[in-house]
Amino acid sequence: MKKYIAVFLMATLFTVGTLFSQATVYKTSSGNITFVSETEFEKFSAVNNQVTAAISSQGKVQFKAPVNSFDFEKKLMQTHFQENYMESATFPNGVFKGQIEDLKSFNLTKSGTYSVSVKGTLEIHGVTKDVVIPGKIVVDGDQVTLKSNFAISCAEYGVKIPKNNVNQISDTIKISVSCSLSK
Amino acid sequence: MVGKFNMMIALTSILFTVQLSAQDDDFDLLGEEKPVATKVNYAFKTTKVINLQSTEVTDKGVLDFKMMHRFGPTNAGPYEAFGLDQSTVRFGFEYGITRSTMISAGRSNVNGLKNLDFFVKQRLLHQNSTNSMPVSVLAVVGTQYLSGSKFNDLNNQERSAYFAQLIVARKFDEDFTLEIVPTWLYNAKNPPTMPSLEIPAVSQIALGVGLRHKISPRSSINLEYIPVLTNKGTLVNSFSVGMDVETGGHVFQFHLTNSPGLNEVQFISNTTDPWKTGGIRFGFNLSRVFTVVKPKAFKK
Repeated sequence: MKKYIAVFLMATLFTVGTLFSQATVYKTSSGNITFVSETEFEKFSAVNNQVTAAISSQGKVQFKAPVNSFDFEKKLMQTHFQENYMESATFPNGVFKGQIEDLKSFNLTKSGTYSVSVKGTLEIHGVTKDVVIPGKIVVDGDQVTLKSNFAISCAEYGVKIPKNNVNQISDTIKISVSCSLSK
Repeated sequence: MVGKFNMMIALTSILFTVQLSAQDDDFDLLGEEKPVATKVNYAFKTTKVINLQSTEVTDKGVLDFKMMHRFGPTNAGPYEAFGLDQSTVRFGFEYGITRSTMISAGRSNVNGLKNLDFFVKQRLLHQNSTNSMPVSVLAVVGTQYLSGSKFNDLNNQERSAYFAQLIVARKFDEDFTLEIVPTWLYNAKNPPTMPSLEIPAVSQIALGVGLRHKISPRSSINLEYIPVLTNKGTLVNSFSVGMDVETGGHVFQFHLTNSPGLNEVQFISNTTDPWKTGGIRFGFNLSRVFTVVKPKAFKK
């Protein structure tokens, strides 16, 4: 009898273990990140449609945005952004890795809109910071869309704005994320 | 005995389960980082080293207005304000048709000759970060046409000159770039206003060398030397040293050179003043860019 119990226990544990380790992952490599800089004198934005993003049913969230994939309306600005400000040859990607704080705040298998808070690390220009970023998860059948609006400070990530340009470039950069993921 | 054995298996399976979960914690959702070959850009600050073409191509949909000035030789003495009283000028437009093709048209006034010129620059190979392509290679072909009614005895063929170049360049690190520019030139007739210039044959081969070294993120020192290897005649090789300063909307290039010429035919094959006797001129290039065609993401 003891033997059967042990086998049963073992089988159960193994199944549970396997279930836990096979979290469902939704991914994309064509996510969108847009940022806006706005001062009294000048407003400009940049668009990146080559963001890789992933979320697991266990609430792990990751984003990677290649710096050279940000498109600007003015190409000279794009050149300066890559070469002088972001130094993309040395720091090619912006990366966020985080964990949704409250696992009960969302359900990827049930259609709906969920407000979540993600705690993690944001790496930009070679500087990594601990951040908590608010976001929305929109589940529509098999499609999961991650949305977020937040702001960062250039100075905090070691991106220097020369004195002559402080009127044109804001230290506060507003970032909006919209990535549609699928299994 | 059997019970103990089973307990051990149960414990092992628990450990196994824990281990699986632990593995899941470290699991990278985006997959392993593979070194991706990215294009090496910004080997120079602008489309010219000084006179010589650089590896940069005007961005797609961007119009670049270029104004080039060379003053007279410093050995002209105080009466000519050491050359500042005289100047040669070229103004021209450059336009990026695709990400790797640009065209340029310009007009220059050098040695009393009013020349129109045109060239096409095409990127053929692009240096990448993994060094599977260690160099960038570009081709340039262009022409110059002597305009105006002053030289009525010259026919169209005698008014024309042509050149073709290959630019082979490597950006060694963020600061240092070196390029080698083999050039072929065809000049049907010596410029009529330059009696001191005698070139034995119409076609020449030259080998340009250009380099830049950044001294700050927004400025660099540039050097170029363009020895003519065949049919040199009485011409003097072009040698220039300069500095690029990037200020927001434009790049300001200023330099010292022995060439008054402002297009390839002029500065490679029509230079007559050597550096050692003070035939050095101060000069500058100004560029201002305008976005003509907006990138896709910004079209409405």
